[in-house]
Amino acid sequence: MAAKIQQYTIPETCVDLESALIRAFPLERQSPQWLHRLYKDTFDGRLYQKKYLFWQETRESFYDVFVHNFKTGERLQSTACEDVVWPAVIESSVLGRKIQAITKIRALMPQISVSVKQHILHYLGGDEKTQLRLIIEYSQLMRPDGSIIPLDKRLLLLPVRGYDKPLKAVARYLERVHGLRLSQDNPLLHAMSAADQPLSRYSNTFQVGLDPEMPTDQAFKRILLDCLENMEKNETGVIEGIDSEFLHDLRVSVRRTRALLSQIPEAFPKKVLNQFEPSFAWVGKITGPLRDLDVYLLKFNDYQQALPVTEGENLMPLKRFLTRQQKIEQKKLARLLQSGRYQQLKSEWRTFLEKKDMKKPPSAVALQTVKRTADRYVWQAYKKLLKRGQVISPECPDKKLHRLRINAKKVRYLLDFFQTLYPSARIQPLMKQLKKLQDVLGDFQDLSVQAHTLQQFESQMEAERQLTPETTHAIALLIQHFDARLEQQRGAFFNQFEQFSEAAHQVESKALFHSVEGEGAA
Amino acid sequence: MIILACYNIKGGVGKTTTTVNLAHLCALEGARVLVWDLDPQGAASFYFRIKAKVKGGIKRLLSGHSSVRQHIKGTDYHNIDLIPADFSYRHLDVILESLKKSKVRLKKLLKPLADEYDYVFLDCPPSFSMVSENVFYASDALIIPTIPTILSLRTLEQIIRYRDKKALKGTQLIPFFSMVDRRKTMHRMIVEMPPKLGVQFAETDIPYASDVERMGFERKPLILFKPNVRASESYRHLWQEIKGRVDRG
Ligand SMILES: Nc1ncnc2c1ncn2[C@@H]1O[C@H](COP(=O)(O)OP(=O)(O)OP(=O)(O)O)[C@@H](O)[C@H]1O
Ligand SMILES: [Mg+2]
Repeated sequence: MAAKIQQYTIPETCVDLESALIRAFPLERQSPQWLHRLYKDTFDGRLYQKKYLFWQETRESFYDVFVHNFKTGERLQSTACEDVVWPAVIESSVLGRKIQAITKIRALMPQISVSVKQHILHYLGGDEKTQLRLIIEYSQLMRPDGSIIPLDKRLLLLPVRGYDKPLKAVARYLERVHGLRLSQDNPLLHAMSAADQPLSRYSNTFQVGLDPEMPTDQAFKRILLDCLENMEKNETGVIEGIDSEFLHDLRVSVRRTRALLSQIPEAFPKKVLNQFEPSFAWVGKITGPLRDLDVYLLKFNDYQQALPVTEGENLMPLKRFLTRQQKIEQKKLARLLQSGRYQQLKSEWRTFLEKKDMKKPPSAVALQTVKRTADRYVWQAYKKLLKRGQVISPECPDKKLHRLRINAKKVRYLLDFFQTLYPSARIQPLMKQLKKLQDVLGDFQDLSVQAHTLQQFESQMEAERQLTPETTHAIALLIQHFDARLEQQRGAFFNQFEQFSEAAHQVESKALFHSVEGEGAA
Repeated sequence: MIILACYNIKGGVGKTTTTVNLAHLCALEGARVLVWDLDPQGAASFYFRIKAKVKGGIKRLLSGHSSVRQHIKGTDYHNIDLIPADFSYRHLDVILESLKKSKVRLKKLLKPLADEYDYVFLDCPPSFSMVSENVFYASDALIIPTIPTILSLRTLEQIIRYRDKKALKGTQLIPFFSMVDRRKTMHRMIVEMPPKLGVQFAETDIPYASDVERMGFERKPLILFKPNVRASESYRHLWQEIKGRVDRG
């Protein structure tokens, strides 16, 4: 069904191809069209990674929306009544569903904007039936500063299913008479390179490669600088409220930073710890409320589905409440992220991280190789996690599981930081099991916190007189649902922890981290 | 893949007109649409400017030796393809009778296309035959254009009576009033107080309008040349309504 487009780049030397084509084939010319084409993708380039280009073309009062697979040539088209930020607005179309399945919770953001003049030619058969479409495109790149860069002239052949002959004839003509070759290049990349704008390579997975022989101090600064940069990459998205992942990723960077400071304090001067530990704790705190609301809104559909249909409907006032609160908190946080306090924190932190020389090393740890440091501290944290996990009993209070979750997270961050120091075949299974354990603990935490926060929201709604008995009832059902799930989740923990300990044995973690137990680490 | 058939035993009630307009509206939403012109007169093929010809005729198509795929033609519109009619379709009944599992042939032929299309519209010939039985088995819903006259309602009753038979199990019946002329008292009366036949009429009806007739001259879906007339608006509503009912199953 989807047309497999053929495209050609028309060289400067090939003048007036259009007239030549019209002389050679039964083509009808449609009046030229001007349109504005906007390429979009998520901040982390999810569509591009899956070989899709997505763009929208502005017509009078609506948009034509396209996805094009640049590997297979498959193309789908649909229309939208509004600017497509969330594919949900075109969810009734295959195209919308296809995109949504890839972008998930991320918003579509403008990448590059091209102004296009199209000359459309219809290859007409009997009964004036179109048997092939030819589009000649003259495009210009519109840069944000208002400047304009002309792009390659292109010819597109859009085949019509069941009419192969015209396509073959035109393709042969283009090759034989004009020496044109099918072009495999990608119009987005072409435009981006003309704009001198790189494709987004953003990813929130930690990717700093470390040299085992590097002094710890240097390696840590590199890790922390990467965290800082990641924070900064996500700020605009948080301030503009584009989607919830910006804040999520910003918070991950903050937590990674805090984990390193708190887990290996020996590597840092006392003064630095005293200044920055509280500062980053502050960032963690101010970003918390918005994140909580984001989480609720992201999970809202699941909540509704957990309840019978009518009860689910009765939750709608809660959703409206959460949406309003979310907007308020988002504005608040946007102000804080632009505040002097936050800016100063970052610039002082950067100054520290970029300082090369160390007049007075805080401890021997700062000078020893990073491999040595990693061996010792990862192993230590790891052992602690195993030990703490072993004493969890089915009856222990929730708090113990929460603490274990934090332990697990810290080990995870350390493993993230130092993974490149270890053979991937040995460290990966460990990380995989740890991740599963974290998921179970995370779900447990979510459930137990959610019940509590829900009650808070409820009393807030009550105070604002937004609560009906129906909504109260629906919320009560939801809390009951959380409680039931919480018990299941406890069971899941024991199961997962066992697998985690087993994996720990199998990879002989002790040997992996060259146990340096005897060295008197704290 | 949802299969919708525009069906009525009666001729000239607006089946083809409805097929063309609804298929077009459906494709505008981005769904991938296939129209199958089952009527040997080839009216739907005509609207889409596609020759009413199937290579090797209906016999070859039905034999299953070749996939239906190779008979599919792209129309002038994005997202709409068509399997054309062929004059040999007039023997469809006889050919179907001679085949094994003759009642589910159509359903079987469409099955392999499930990943390729979101909606299939069947434009049916006016009859009650082996062809219609195949249509019943294959379809998720029958869209039944009904002119608001006593005689047409009687025909509708015949179809409804057939509903209890196996062929229509799980098929929704969606009658709607077609070619409604509000100047006629009888039309008005019936549309405003539809008889209780145990089916739910669509709330939207399609007015009698000369613009609709002009489709045959323009050879285009109505909204492409008269986007703002009342009949266009009605088709839009009708499509939303049908889509909603089919989605709910
Ligand atoms: N709403 C309408 N207003 C005016 N004319 C209409 C309307 N709907 C259909 N027509 C006209 O009525 C005639 C029959 O319509 P159509 O071909 O759609 O009916 P049909 O049920 O498919 O007929 P057949 O049974 O012959 O296949 C056509 O000339 C068409 O243009
Ligand atoms: Mg017809």
